[in-house]
Amino acid sequence: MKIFKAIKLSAILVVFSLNVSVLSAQTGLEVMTKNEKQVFADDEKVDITMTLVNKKGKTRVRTINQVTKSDEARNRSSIIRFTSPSDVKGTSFLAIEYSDRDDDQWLYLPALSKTRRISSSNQTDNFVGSDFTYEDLATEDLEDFKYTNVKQETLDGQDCFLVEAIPVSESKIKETGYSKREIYVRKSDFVIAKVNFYDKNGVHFKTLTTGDIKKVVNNEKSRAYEISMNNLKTNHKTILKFSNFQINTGVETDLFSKRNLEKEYSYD
Amino acid sequence: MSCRQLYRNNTKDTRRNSFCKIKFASLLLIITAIQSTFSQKEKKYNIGGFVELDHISYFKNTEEYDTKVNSRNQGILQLELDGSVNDKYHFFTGIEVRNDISDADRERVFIDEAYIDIYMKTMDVRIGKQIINWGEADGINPTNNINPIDFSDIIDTDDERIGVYSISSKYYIDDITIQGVFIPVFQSSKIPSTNSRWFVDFPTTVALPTGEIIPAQFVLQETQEPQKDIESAQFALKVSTTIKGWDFSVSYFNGYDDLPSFNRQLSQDQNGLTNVLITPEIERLQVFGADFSTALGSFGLRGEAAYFRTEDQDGTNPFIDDSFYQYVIGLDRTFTDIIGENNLFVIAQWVHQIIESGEDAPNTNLNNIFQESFVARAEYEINNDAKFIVQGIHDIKVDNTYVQSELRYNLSSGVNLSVIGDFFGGKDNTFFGNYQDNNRIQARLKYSF
Repeated sequence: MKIFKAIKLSAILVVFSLNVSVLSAQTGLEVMTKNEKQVFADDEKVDITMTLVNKKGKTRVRTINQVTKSDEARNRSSIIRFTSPSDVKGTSFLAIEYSDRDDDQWLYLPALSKTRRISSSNQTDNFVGSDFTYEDLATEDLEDFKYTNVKQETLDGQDCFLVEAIPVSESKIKETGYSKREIYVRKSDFVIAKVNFYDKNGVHFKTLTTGDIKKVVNNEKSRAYEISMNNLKTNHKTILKFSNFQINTGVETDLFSKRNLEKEYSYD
Repeated sequence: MSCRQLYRNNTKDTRRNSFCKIKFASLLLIITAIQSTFSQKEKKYNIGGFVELDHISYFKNTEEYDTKVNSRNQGILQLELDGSVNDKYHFFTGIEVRNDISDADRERVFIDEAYIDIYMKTMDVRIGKQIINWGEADGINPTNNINPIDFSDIIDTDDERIGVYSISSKYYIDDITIQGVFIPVFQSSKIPSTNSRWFVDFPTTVALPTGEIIPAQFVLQETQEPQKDIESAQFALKVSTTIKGWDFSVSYFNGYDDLPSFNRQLSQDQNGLTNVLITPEIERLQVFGADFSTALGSFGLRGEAAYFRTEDQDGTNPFIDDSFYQYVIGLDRTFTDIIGENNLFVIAQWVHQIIESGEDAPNTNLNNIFQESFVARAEYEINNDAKFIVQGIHDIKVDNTYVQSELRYNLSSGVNLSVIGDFFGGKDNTFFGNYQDNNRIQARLKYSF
C-alpha cells in the first residue's frame, strides 16, 4: 500500500497525452508547441489499465480511474482511484497544483477510513512501481529545454518529426533523470509516436512507444489508447491501456476536494 | 493498577456463534454465487472482502503456560457489500466470520460496519455502525477516541477498532469542515480473557498501606458498565481546515474511557485469608485535541496532541487515572533508489505523556504505555512483489521495547503472504517487559476479492 504514498497526482493525466514540448531550431519548437496544444484540455476523464511486466514475463495489473482539470494558469488538479486489484481497490489520490508553492497531495486509504497528506516525490521517482517516472508523466515547461528538429522519419507508416530535447535551464538539469530525449512526433496530428530516453551518461536506457492513436469520441483531440515503456536496463516493461476518454465535459472544481476523495462514487 | 488487573475481564462479550462452524469452502461457494447474481444486473452493487488464514506460534511454552492458549490457528472471512441507490444515498456493510480452532474466545460472527450515507449539498451524514478515525499521526493517535478496541490480541497487526452505532455528520463551509458525532449507547472494548497469553495473572501477595506484604487472593467482580441506554450517550466534535499546505483540526470528545478503572477492596475471610476484590468500572472521559500535517519538501511532518480529562481531576482517587496530556510528533520520508531502484519509506515519531498531577503512572496501564517513546517504522521494497517492514517502540522512561518485523510477498494480484515476528524486551512490571515470553512468529495468507 505504501507505494501509493509516492504518487504524484499532477503527473498521471499527462501520460495520456505525452506532452513533450519545445524546439531549439524554429521548426522543433513549432512542432512541440503544436503537440502541447493538441494535448491540452480543460478537463479530462479516463480509465487506465496498467500492466507491469518483469524480466521473467510475470505480470501485475492495476486499473485506475482518473479525472483532471486545469485552471487558467494551466495548474492541474487530479483525482485518481484504484479500482483493482482488490487489495488496493478504493485507494484514492488527490493532488492540487499551485504555481507559487508545493502541491497539496492526499492519499485516502479505505481500509483505515483515513485520508493522509503526503509529501511530493522526486521527479526521477517511479510512479507506483512502473517504468514511468513522475517526470515522464508531467507536462514540461518548453523554456526548460532546447529542441532541435533533427530529421524526419517514417514510423509504422506514419511520417514523423524527430525532435531532440536537451535540458537547458539550471533547475531542469538538476532535477531531470535524462541527458537527452529523442521525440518522434506524428506530422498528421502532432501526437507523440515514440521517445528514446538517455541517462545522465548518455546511454539509451528507456523507450516509449504509443499505439492505437485515434480521435476521442465527440472530440477533435487525438489520444494514444496504448502506451508502452520499456526499460532496457532492467528488462522491465509497463503497458498503459486507456479507455472511456471524456474531454472537456465541464468537470466541476468541487470534485477535487478531500470530501470527494473519500466518496466511492464521486468520479463517475 | 496492574496489567493483570487490567486484563481481567468477563467474557460475556465473546460473541461466539455457531455460524463460525461453517466451513470456509462452503462460504466461498456462496459468495461466488452471490457475486454472479449481482453481476448479471447493472453494476449497482459491489461485493468484495477477503479470506485470511493465520497461524501463530509462541517461542516459549513452559508449564506455566499450560492453562493458556499457546497458538492461533484461525480463518477469517470478511464479506463486504456496498452500493448507491442514487447520487444521494450510499450504503456499506461488512461482516466478519472468524473461526479459531485454538482459541474459542476469538470466534465470532460480527458486523464490522453497516451504515448509510446521505449526501447533501453542503453536508454529508452517515448513520449506522461505523469506524471513525481521527488524528494525523501514524499509529498512535491521542485524538482518536470514538471507537472501542478489540484488545484480545494486544499486538494484532490488523486495525482492531470496533464500529459503534452512531450518527456522524460533516458540514462543509469553504475549506472548513465541521464534524459532529453522536453515539447514543455505550459500547465496550474487548479485553483479553484469562486464558490468553495477553492476560497477566494476578499476584499471590498484596502490599498493605503499612508496607507489609501478605498473601492474598484476588477476586474479579463484574465490570460496572454504563447502562445501555440513552443516558450513556457520547458525542464528539471536530473542526478541520487546510491553509496554505497545512491541515489543521481541533476536536473534543465527551464520553467514556474504553478501558475500565479497577477499584480494589481488601477483606478477610473466616480463615484469615486476605481477599482483594477487583471491580472494573468504566469512567467518563473528556478529550480536548488538536492535530496538524504538512509536507516540507520530501518530508511529511505531522503532529497531534490531546488533554485527557478523567473523573479524577484532582488526582486523589488512586483507582482512577489522573488527567494527562499526550502529544505525538513525527516525520516521514520516502528514500528512492536505495539499493538498485528500490525504495525505502521511513516514519519516525516521538510520543510524550505528561500526567497532570505530576505523579508517575503505571506503564502497565494501557493508557500509559507510551510515556517517553521513540516509535519508528521502515518499509523496504525488495522488488515489485516483496517488501520488508520493521517497526519498533522504545520507551526511554520505563525502559521497555517492542519490535515487529514482517516479510510480505505478493503471490498474485490480491494474494499476499506475510511472515511476521514479534519481540518484546524490558524490565519486569513494564508493559512490554511483562510479555517477554510472548515472542512469536506468525504466518498469514490473505486473498482479497
